Amino acid sequence: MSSALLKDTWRTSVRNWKRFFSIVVITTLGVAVLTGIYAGCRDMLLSADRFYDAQGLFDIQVVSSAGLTDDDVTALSKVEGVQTVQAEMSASVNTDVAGTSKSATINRIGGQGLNKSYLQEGVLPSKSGQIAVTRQFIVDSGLHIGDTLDVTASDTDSSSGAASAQGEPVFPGSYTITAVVLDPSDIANPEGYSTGAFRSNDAESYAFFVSSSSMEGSLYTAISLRVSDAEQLDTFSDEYSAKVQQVVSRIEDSVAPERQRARERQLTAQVQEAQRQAAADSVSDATGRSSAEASDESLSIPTVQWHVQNRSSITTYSNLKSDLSSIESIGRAFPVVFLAVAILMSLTAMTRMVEEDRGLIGTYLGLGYGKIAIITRYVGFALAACLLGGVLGNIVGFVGIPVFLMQVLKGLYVIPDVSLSFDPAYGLGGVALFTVGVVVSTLLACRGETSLTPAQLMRPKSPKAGSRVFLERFTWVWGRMSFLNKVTVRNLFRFKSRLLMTVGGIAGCTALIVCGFAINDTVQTLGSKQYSDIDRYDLLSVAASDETAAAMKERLADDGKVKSSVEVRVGSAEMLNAEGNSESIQLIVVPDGQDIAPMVDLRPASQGLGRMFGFAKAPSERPRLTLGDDGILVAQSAANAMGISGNSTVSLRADGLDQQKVKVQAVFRNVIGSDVFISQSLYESSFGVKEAGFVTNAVMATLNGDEDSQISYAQRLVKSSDVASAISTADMERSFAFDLMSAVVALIVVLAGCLALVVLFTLASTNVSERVREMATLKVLGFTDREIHLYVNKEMLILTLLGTLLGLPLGRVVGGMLTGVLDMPGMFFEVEINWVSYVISAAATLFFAFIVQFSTNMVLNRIDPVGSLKSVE
Amino acid sequence: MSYIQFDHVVKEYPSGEESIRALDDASFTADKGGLTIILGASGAGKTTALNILGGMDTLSSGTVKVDGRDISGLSRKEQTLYRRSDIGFVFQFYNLVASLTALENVELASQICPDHFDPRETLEKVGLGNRLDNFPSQLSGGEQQRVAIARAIAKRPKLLLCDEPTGALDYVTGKQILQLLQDISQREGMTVVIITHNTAISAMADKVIHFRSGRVYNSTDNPRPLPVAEIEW
Repeated sequence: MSSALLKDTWRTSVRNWKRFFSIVVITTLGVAVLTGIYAGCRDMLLSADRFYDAQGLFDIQVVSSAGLTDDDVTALSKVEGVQTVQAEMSASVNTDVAGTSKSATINRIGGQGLNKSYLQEGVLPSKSGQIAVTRQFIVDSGLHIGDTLDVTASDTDSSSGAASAQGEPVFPGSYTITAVVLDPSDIANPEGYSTGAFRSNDAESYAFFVSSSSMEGSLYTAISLRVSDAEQLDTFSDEYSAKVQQVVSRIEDSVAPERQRARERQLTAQVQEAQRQAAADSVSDATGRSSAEASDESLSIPTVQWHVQNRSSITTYSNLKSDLSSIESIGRAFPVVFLAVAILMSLTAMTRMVEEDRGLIGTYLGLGYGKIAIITRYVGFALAACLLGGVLGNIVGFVGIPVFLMQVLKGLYVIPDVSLSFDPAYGLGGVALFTVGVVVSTLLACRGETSLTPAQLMRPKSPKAGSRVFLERFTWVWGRMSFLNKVTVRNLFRFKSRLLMTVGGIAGCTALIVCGFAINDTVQTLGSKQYSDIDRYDLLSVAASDETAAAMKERLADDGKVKSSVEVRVGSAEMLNAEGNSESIQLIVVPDGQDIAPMVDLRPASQGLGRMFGFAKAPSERPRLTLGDDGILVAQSAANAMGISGNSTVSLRADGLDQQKVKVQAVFRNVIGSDVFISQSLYESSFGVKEAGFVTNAVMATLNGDEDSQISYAQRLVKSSDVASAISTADMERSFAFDLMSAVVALIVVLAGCLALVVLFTLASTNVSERVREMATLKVLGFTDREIHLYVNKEMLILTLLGTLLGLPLGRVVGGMLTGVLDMPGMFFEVEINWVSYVISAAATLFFAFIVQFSTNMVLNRIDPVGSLKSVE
Repeated sequence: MSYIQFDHVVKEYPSGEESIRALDDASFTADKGGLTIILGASGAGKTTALNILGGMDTLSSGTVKVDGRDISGLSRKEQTLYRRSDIGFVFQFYNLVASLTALENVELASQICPDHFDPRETLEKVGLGNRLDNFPSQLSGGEQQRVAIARAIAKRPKLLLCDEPTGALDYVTGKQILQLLQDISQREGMTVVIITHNTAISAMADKVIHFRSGRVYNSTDNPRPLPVAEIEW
């Protein structure tokens, strides 16, 4: 390239700063969207990974139904791939929190550096009588470092039998709080905004930490393991899961069965020892117990069952992973739209730039410059804009958006030392993607002009011929139109490609905005849909145990608050699909002869295309489902993630019962929670429960009084020792919030709005540039500025309106597809778009159009009629 | 009192520290209903004079009066209204709106001007009665220039200003266009000003004004203008 050509290229670029700016901004936005959401999630996950590694969080944890011994520790340490083994000791206690007795777990700080608590404040306990507590406890109890904390052992340990009491931990009852710590296995932010009851309904157990001198015993609650070389891997990656799973399988296949049997033999020996002791006692007692009773007791030795868990068993670990993966799935879908719009716009802008330089290109070719040199001018221009946009996009994407997302995530999770990082593959790849798109469209734009001869180029391009439009055939319409309207219609159809670009570009941006609102509205209405529409009951009260069920029902009846009620059996269970993926569900057994309809509105779930495009019938118009005896009803929110539909067969593993296969009668509409309804008959026949043994342990009830009184009633009820939980649907609905998603949505709406603005700006300036002569002619004819604005803007306005109208339903469809991608366990995103959102989306687009119009008007005013008309275009 | 009074007009363009005088104390007059030709080489200032006369440019000093009205101090907005009601422009390049038919191009002008000729009749007058519904791309250069003239005169302007109207046309077509302009002046009594650098055609005018370096150095009345057909060049 000669220096004169370079100089001209530079000056051309400076003159075309508006086009340059458009491409820069579009690329910036595209690269930012592409990288930002991904980078935000990645930074959070990497920081969490670093935190977990630093605290030595277990890769595998083994728990047993009968405790673990030193022999188990030794056996596990010999397993191939196990790096470190740490025996964990803990005890369930009760403590007084702000006047009520709450359960807590005292954990002994292990000696192998695993599961270290992160010290937030104070000094870690080192002496007996010192204790570290979590921030959650500080927030709830109002205690401070230095205060005294009293605990009492909770006496719930009956399952493991009297014999297992041997070696159980012994610990003091009174402590001094010395530290506030962050438990790596619970990184939920206690001071952040509520993430909703659906997340934290069972998390009311506090964790305390004491030094080994405060807790003595020989029976362990759990054994934590670290897998060799797993620390180097990203804990959220598939490689990590695979590596850990190998070791889990090894333990389950070899060590577990052997050690389970050994522990059973040991327990049997202990029981026999106790029996001999008892027999000796009874002999000496002389009153005597029958030997049958004694042999009965020997039967009560529990089978020892090991559970080998990985990090997925940690609630906050799984929550963080699913939260971020749902955000990431949004982050994957949007850049596609941005890329498409970027290519469309750079094609428009560059084509026009090349057209404007038609004569100049002819001159260069005439002077003997090669095609390549000329194409380089424009490719260089586009490339420079793209690269600048890419750099800016990377800055926004790897700094701006992650910082914003982290602000939101910090409200949900506590991860110390969150740091930003750059992912070259993603950052540079994103820039490359846009660069290729823009450069290719520039080459396309150049192809047409450079293939002509210099002579052809130096002659003016024959203007695009006018032609009749189909509307003129309808003479009665055409005849009634005002002259300027006719001109407008003609021009609209004359520039078909502009029509398509404008309508397409604006529709795309409107759709993006609608899409953002769709996600927001969908999430916002989940609560009221679930707790007002689907769940008709006001209160679900579950008894602490089958024995206290009667007392609880009596209490409910006596309080006189209940309007109507249905008794059911509620229990937790695992549901497995054909592929063996499991999900924890809430199994609700409906007694024969009971009608659940007044309490839960069971309607068939919408599926397939109807769901995606919103054509499905309103739920209330679908026929009501009745629970039959040949299959179970599965909540859509549980079925969706596992691909379960009507007539599928699933396996259920209910608490304390063997795994059984059952047929799915239907999937019912449900948006939050994982409820599965089963009839009493099917429950009994499937699980072999004797009819006499069937007890209802829960009550669904509608209540008198307003929501406040219902909520406070539920709160009073749960304090009773007979009641395990009392859930007020009014309370659930109120506390349901999904701030994380709203924040992401806000981000997307802002970015889509910026995109819309740039698109409109590019289109409007291209439009004006193409028609400078026409505008100059109008000026000479004596059209006032206002009339010229109207002349141009009427076309743009019509195209904008068309684009907006098209974009609204398009947004609904794209929103449907996006929310379909957002699979979260226990949630079903039933697409909902408030009409206000459509109005706001349309208004935002039109508002942008008006801003752009304003700037266009300025440009129109500056057109000099004399200068523009003298030359050949 | 002449219909057009161009009186000691100066037009300066700033150019760095210096300034360029496009018009340097130029003065001329023209009568109502006459055909005036302004002659001069490129850069002599004739186009600047025409633009000032047409309300498309401002002047630095001096006065310009058209039909007794001083147009030298008009604001932008007043200039627009002046162009709208009093001026018809014809350019070398016809500047028709490509998406409008011949008739519609004329309507484009007539519909913003309350006192106008019927567009259809005007087109018939310029000899395009049978091409009313053709688009510019379907018309020859001469026909397009006729449409442009029809568009300019349909507004019933006080002045018809033509800047090199035959510059892009061949000899025969150019002659026809000039004949048309002469007819418009003589039959309709329209005041026409034509800019050209072709000295030969000055014989068709009622008045010829010579520009050189921003000044009027010669202005001659021609009591017997020749019909265009009789002029050869």
